[in-house]
Amino acid sequence: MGPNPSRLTMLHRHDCELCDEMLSQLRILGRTLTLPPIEVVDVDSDPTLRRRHGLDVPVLLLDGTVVCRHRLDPEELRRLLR
Amino acid sequence: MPRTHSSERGNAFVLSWLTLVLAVTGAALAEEPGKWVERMNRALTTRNYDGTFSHWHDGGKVEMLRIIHRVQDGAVSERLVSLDGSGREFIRTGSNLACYLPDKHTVLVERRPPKESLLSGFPTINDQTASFYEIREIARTRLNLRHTHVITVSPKDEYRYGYRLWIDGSTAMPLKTQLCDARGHVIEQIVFASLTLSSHIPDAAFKPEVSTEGFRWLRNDAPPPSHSVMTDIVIWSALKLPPGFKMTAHKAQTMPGSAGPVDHVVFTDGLASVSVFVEARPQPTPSHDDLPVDESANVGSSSAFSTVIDGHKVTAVGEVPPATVRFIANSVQAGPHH
Repeated sequence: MGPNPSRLTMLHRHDCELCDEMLSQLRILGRTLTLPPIEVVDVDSDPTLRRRHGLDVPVLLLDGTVVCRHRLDPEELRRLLR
Repeated sequence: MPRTHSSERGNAFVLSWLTLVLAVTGAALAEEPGKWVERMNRALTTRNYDGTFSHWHDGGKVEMLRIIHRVQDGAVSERLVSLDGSGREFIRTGSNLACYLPDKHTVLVERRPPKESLLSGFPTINDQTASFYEIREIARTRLNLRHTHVITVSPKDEYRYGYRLWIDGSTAMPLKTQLCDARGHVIEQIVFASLTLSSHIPDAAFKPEVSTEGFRWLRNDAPPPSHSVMTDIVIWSALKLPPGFKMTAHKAQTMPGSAGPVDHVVFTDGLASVSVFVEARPQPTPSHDDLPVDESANVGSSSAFSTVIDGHKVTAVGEVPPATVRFIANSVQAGPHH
């Protein structure tokens, strides 16, 4: 069996404009770059996530490691996916 | 005889009184470590203070921050400033939070629960958590020239992490805090380099240093989020949980790139929490047939465990020992738990 496939997690919050922007940018990036499946998780639903990342929403995680906060960083994501 | 009776009654009274005093004193001494945790949380929320602290997490870089906290006429104001390159500032007044992000030329304004402090990472012991953690005072020492009580909040089983707290004996403020695993390995640490308590902090202390000229302002006027989000229909739950853990949130949502909806279920014991994601598993390719699919991973202090249950991929993630995510993922079942 091969390695566990990567997973992107976007921590978001209800009515968060930057979150909607990051999701749109991910969709656009996904047209030219093969992205892992994306989980969109409400940061306020889990006390630990809220404590760790609640001030930085939206946060994009790749297998639990922070890729970027507030705005999508396509170059960093490309680098980590290589 | 009456005198004797009086004397006996007097002796009995003194004995009873002594017994009562000893019992009360003994109880107070026994409760003392827990009381220090209570005092610490009370100090954090009710005192006026201005401090600089380092925050280390996940074995990564140390971040230096400044926290200013004021309670004036019942209104709480807080300002958290990142002292590193980003220059981020967060200013909370009651339930209004403004996030100044100089590196993004953006200011976010949103509503947050009024009791949600910008300074987090300290354990709160209540009736729910008290049964699963043992609180002890292990030493009295000096830190930053202050007399401190070293309090440990240790889990009684292998399913959660513990805390070590250095609490100032005169102000009850936490001068140092560590989140530790069962072997005492430090996972997260907060250490105050300076801390000043004062009766008055001026309004000017809650103004951002950064100039917001040309910044983009984004407002989110949605009501503060509820910390317990439950959908009407519970599709997935856990048959059995580590002691003290309860399901506190459940959401189903369709993720971009996913074939179907993904369930997100959260379990917590009041201090630690675990997120579980359940999604329909794609049909296995021939090369994957009949192979085990359980996988464990660790990222910093977080543990993750994946398995397949009833054709669904179940992934549990949390800042807990690996045994906890494994236990919970393997206990997930379709349907509500009764």
